[in-house]
Amino acid sequence: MIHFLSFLLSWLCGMLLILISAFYSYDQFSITDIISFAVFTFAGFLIVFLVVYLLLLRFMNKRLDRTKQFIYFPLIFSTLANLPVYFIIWKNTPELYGPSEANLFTIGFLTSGLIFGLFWAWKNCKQRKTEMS
Amino acid sequence: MKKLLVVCCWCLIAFILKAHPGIGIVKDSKGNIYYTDLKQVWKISPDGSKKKVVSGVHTHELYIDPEDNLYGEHLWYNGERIDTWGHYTWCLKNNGDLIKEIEPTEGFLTNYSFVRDSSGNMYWVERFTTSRIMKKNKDGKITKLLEGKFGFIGWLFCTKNGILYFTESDKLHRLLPDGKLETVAMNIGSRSTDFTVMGRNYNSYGIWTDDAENIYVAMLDLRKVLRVGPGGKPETIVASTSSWTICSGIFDDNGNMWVLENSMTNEVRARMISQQELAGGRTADNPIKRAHLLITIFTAVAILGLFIITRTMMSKKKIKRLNFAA
Repeated sequence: MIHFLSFLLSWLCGMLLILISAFYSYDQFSITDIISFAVFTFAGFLIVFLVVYLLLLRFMNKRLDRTKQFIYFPLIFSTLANLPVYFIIWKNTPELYGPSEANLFTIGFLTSGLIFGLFWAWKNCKQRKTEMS
Repeated sequence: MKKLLVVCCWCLIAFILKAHPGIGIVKDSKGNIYYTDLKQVWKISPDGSKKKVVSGVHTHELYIDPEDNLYGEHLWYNGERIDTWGHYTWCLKNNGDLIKEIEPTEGFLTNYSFVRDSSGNMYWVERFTTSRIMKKNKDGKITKLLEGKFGFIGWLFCTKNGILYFTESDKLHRLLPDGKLETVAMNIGSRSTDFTVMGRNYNSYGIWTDDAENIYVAMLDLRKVLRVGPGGKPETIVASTSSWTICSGIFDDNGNMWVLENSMTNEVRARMISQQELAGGRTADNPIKRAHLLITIFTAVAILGLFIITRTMMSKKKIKRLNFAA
């Protein structure tokens, strides 16, 4: 359940940043545009979540000291874990979409990684406090 | 694991399908707009109502004559086993009758075109090492208008008085009725890659004009519309966002531009861009912007709700653990 919640929360935060950025950078960002971004980021984030994030989370939970997780988790998930996505976005610009759309995708995935890292660092911190008390 | 990652990434890319969008959008004398979505032909009345007028036809182009008779084709593939194509052309008469102009025939259309002037002359391109632009008079006589070694020649556009416009590589040309070829604009497009809709061609697509004789070119992969004025300088007037790209267009009687758009998932729509929007002005009421704002607020609320649920869940777990420890 907690994994599902972290996925949903991270994806929604990424989507929110896309919506806010688009609000200021586009004159018209229609429902179709919003649905397209939602579908593509959801599908992309689901794949990255299942293939990269969960494995990396398991690996880092064991290796990283919990006091350092607030710095390393967001950093690693927003950069290292998202590298395949950034590469795909970069490779297909401007063939499949324009640079402005590529920026929106990048912002979305960067935020999702950041929130996912922060979420698990916060969750682990809470768990540690409970254990200590 | 690496293989799985690559497969997943390619699945994501393959979701964005390759397509060969249509350019068929025309206007009749009563101000109705007709467009093809490659499965049927739609009619948008001046009051905004939309209805299907021809079903089950795969036509990329449309033509409407001065008497409001609408012309199109139906093209189909007979399967890999026999690997042949078939076609017929149809005409929706102004009284509503749908008739077949050319009966079902094997192969593609030859010596026939939907690019016509007001006199009914047809124009088409024969794309070979040496390309030709051909003309067929109303009496059936075929003549060669132009011959030469060109780059890839895109869709032809013909004005009412028989002036032909076409793009070749990154140039926009004009062919006058007397056979004189003029280059209207240079450097209008960039080369596309294999993954794009155009696939290794320059990405110019549909061409149309307005009453002031400006020429408009839809740049498919760049997702924008160029306007080439009498000076020959191309300027971007519309940039499409996200998954929709403009393929072609036409101006209605009020000076609004109707664009035919194709999405990444091969959906087709016709959208009106008002005169004010084209001129760079903004309308006071923008429902799209309002809907965008509402969805943004809704997403923020959803995030807040999820966060509260997560916190509650964690607190419950904490109480459980404390109870267990006690």
